[in-house]
Amino acid sequence: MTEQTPPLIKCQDVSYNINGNSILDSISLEFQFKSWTGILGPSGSGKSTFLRCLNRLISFSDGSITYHNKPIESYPPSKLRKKICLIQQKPLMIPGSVRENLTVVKDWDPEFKTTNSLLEKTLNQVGLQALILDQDARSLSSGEQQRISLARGLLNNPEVLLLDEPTSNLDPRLARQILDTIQSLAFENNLTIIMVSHDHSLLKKYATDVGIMINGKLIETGPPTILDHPREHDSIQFLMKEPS
Amino acid sequence: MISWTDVFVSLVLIGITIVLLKWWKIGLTKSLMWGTVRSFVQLTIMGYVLTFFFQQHHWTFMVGLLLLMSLIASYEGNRRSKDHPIPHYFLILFGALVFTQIVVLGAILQFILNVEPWYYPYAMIPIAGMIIGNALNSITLTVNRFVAEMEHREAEMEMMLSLGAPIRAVAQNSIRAAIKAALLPVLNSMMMVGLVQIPGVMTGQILAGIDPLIAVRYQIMIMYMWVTSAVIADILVLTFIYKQFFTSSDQINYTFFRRNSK
Repeated sequence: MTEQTPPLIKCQDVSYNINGNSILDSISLEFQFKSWTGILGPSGSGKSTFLRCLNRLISFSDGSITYHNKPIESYPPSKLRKKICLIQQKPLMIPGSVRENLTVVKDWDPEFKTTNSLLEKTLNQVGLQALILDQDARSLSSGEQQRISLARGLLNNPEVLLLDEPTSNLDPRLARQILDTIQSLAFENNLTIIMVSHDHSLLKKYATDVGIMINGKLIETGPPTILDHPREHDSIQFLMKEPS
Repeated sequence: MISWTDVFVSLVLIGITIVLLKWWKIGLTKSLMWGTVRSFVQLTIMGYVLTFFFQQHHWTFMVGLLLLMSLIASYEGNRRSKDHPIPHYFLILFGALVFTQIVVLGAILQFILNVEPWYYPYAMIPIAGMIIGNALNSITLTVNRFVAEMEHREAEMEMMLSLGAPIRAVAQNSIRAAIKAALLPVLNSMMMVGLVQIPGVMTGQILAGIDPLIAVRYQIMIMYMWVTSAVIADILVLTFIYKQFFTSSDQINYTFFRRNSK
């Protein structure tokens, strides 16, 4: 990470407890503009909870998170979430066509304007044909649905994409296709990517920075090469063996 | 005219029922006997209470009784919701029931029946009882369904919040499903009324010797009153409770969910 530019998002000692259980324990991490940070960890390590703290879908118990040098609490939640957009693990399609899914925001935001050509362009960006605009979104494959979910987020013009195991339901070939798409989108749209995964091979290929999270603690951060020789830890050894 | 002796003779029907239940080893005989005694005692007491109120000539008695009925209904509704305790639910119910009566009962007494005085007990008390009972049933259905929908739609709500949706929009699908579910039985009975069964109020009036053509007019008014009071009460209650399912930072408030997942 470069020292000169201030980080886009900065987490300082972020903890999250629920019912006396510590889910996140003093996480300190910085995310640079246009970086791709991968967080590796086994299921239940707190990765998804951490992502949800970043766009305030949940409130952390302790510590601070800043975005553009301002505490995230100082932004109205809806504005913050448009800028720091979460893409869920399982893409959720509302009943209706692809078009209705892409333009769902206009249900609550009268200022949300879109044109056919913008929708078509966005679909092309995520690797889909404009032909599917009027198809039933729920009839599409999970890979296509994940792309639509991505396109739906992009139409909000986000600055940061939070990816919660975005390819865990897809076969490895499709997973790489989607991440390739995200990589080129990130480049074209100046996006900052924060992705959690339990698949170290994907993180090694795409991430510019990685962190390893176990039991709510960030035990190691650095360039993707740290995944080649992680510090001794039973859980990491387990992760490395896990099939992708 | 039915006499008390006639009423006791009707116990023969209960006797037949008990024999059937025992014969088929269904159980429930104790509950049936308890229900038989309770309905007898409660309705008899109600008869005396109504007689007392019908003899009063001051509006404070009627309004007092209506408030008391609303309090009892709110207590009952609050008790039924202990599965998913909602803060201030008792007060919300009470407020919704009182408001619904002001609007619906007020309209009926003032503009439809044109009774004089406005608190004319023979109209006010039975109609208020119907409004409260129907509204409470409808509210219970609505709230149960609403909580279930919110739990079921967790992922959908998270998706919408992530796209910057305000909580009203996030709860909208659950609100719509809950009110639809509660209104369906009312709408079904509006469709079916008069085709098979003679509805309760009409049956009573016809038994009491009223011309069926007059009895239907009352019944029609009651059907309209029924659906209106259900919609007003349901919307009012949901307006007050949906916000409690979110925090002040527009997050899902998991404390109401039976399964505290986050």
